[in-house]
Amino acid sequence: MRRLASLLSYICISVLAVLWLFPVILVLMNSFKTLQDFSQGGLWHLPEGFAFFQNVRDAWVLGGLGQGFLNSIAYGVIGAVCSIFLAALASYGLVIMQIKRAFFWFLLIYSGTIFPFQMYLIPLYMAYRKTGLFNSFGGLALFYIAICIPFCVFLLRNFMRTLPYEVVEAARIEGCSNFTVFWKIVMPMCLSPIYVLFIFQFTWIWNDLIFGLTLTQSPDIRPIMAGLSSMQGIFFRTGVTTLMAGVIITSIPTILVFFLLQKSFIKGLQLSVKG
Amino acid sequence: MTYLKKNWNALLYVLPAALFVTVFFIYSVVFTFVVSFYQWDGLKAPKWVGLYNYKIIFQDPTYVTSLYNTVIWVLLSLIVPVGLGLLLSVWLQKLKGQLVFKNIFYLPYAISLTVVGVIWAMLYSKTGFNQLLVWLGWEHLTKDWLNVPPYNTFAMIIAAIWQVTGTNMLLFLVGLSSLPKDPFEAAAIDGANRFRMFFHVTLPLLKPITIVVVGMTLVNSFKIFDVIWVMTMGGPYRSSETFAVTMYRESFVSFNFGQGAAIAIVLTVASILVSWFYLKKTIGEGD
Repeated sequence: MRRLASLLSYICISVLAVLWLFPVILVLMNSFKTLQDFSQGGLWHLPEGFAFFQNVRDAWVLGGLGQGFLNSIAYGVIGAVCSIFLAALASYGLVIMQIKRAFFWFLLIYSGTIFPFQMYLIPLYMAYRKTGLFNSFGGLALFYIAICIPFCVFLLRNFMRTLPYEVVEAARIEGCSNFTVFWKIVMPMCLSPIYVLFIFQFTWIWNDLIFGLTLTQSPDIRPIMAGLSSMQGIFFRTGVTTLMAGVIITSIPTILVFFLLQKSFIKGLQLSVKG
Repeated sequence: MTYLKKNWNALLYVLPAALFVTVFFIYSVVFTFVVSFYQWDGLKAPKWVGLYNYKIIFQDPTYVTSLYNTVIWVLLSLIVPVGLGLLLSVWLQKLKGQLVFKNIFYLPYAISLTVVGVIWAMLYSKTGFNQLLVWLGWEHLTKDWLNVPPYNTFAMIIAAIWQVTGTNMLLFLVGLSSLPKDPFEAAAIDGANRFRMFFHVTLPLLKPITIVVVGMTLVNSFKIFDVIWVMTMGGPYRSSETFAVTMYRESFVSFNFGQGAAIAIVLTVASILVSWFYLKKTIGEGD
């Protein structure tokens, strides 16, 4: 009885897992096909040739994903690094330097996570139009820095509270300046949450669609998801195979990050859940 | 002033982040709130219309449809992914080969919602599920899934469920692994069967993490945009819009900023009300 039940359980979950995996398998399968192969056989049959690299090249060049890919790498790295640095400074001021009314300052910064993004779209669009930040690399990068700050402060503040206060105090007594303590002592102790934050924020920026659509216009500035969504409009009828190669290009960085760094990702989830 | 004098050193550290947030977000919230009382296309001078933009949300059929769709989205993408995530986590917890299954269910979460939209738009096209139905001899069941309401909304919700369930499962697994062992042993000695164990021991112990999962899912489902924008753009004839999409369309396609702002405000109030417990928990009690 027992063994039968467990066998049944395996069969059920395997079926579910295969169903779950099916869309991914179809994407892979169809990114291998030539367009001719696809239009004759459709979505479900196995590829006859191997046109994967041709499709990737088409998506990269004709679909314009290459530029978006490079842009988004830059947005992701700049946005994550700058926001983490600014957030670490702020958390240091809140927790270690013990600014008065720290909770007020924390709430002020953290309020950036409470509102749905729809609240920011119109004002930012208008302001960006007026100041010339609209459709500029710097403008979008600034926005990404800003949007990542609140969550970074939330996590780093919580983490810094757990640091051994004596170490920091000792360094201060030895006459280190505040910034030296911050840079040489506190930051090295914060490396593990910083690592997690980098992954989180990079992924967030990489996956963003709505702000890329709203604050930029030309393909040479646009981030990758905005690029993919306009590519979808053009290639959906005429180039499914290229589109599927595009899907793979856009997903590789996040899939790599998630699976190579799964442990720290789960740790990040835990950190953000504990509050 | 004395506050400044005593704290200027620490302020130097806090201010850059605080300024970023104030300029980008707090300013934006105030601006959106004010604009929601005007009729404004961004070019001509704004015209005061009072609460008109709010009233029309509950009267105009387009917005009412959008309201219904939003409710359907929120409800379904709460019940199914959270329930399924919980089920999977309990199921997988003691299974050998857990890791393989875990990774499979979690894989879609590594794919962005925009990409999920592109993939599922392909699946719902003529060559996708419809082809499969034809082969099975169920031709009468084929549909232009994304072009017929209300199927288009449900079709897109399925796509979103596929993406998000894995995270919930992962969060529940994290929660399960940190549970104390004693209550389970005690219940086992009392002769509780698996179902009783689940409902009377596991579930109550999981309450804290459930609040987090429910909160996160709610917050995310209210502002769902990417999937819909990629798959239907809210169409056909604005039949599959949710508030987030309506807000975008009113603002950046019709340049009706006042209306867009009012919808954004309603969306905000609704999502904050619904996720209040979650927010309270994450912010925590002050110092």
